[in-house]
Amino acid sequence: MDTIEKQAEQLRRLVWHSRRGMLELDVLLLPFTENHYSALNETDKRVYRRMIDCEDQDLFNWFLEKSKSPDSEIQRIVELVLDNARSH
Amino acid sequence: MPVVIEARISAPKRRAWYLWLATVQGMLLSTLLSWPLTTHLLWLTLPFFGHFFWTADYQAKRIRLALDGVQLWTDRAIERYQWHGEGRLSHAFMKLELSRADGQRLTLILWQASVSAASWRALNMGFRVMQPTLRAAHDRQNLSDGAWAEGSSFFR
Repeated sequence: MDTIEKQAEQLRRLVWHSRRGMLELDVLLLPFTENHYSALNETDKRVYRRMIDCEDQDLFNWFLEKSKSPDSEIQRIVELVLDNARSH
Repeated sequence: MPVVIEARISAPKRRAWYLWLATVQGMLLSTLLSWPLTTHLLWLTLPFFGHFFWTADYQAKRIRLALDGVQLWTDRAIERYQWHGEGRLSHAFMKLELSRADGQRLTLILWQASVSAASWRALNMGFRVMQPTLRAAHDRQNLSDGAWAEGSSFFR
């Protein structure tokens, strides 16, 4: 399997994982994964994948800015997703 | 790319049922308290007043919320409004203060029962994520730098 195929499969898997049990999170995560994930650098992609593995309730609180992630890298990605959702 | 949320709006299904329930309860109460017959009849006006007020509401069939741009589909046309983050969110309804380029204003109330559960949750998230940003942007736009600084010094 070549690199492009691997990347495509990884993206498909991430899109699948972006469909959460909470619809509120789908609204933010799905468009970001589909439209912006590929443009991230390798470090950010790795952190994004770590973020996707977090619990729904934690993600919900971080995205609603009720609390901040204890992991500063994940918090940075949360803010990146929010900035994208709020930009034209 | 902003969050885009689309939802179909329909008349709340249980609205009429709740109105009639309130009417029957009111009439029973009047009977228990032995109020005059005219009081009983007054309760009957409740469903009609309710129906009148609700049909006087703005009737949109669909809404598309994309950051500050709001599109509303009515029977006649697609209307475009701007949302500056003004409004209110409660468990039962969402109120959006909208305006158009020609200065026309609209207060749109979306009842939870008028959209699907999935749409309501998506709209909720959209409202919560977008409101602070839009409100801050609108405030910055309306206040000059000096006024902004002056206003903030008030809270010191």
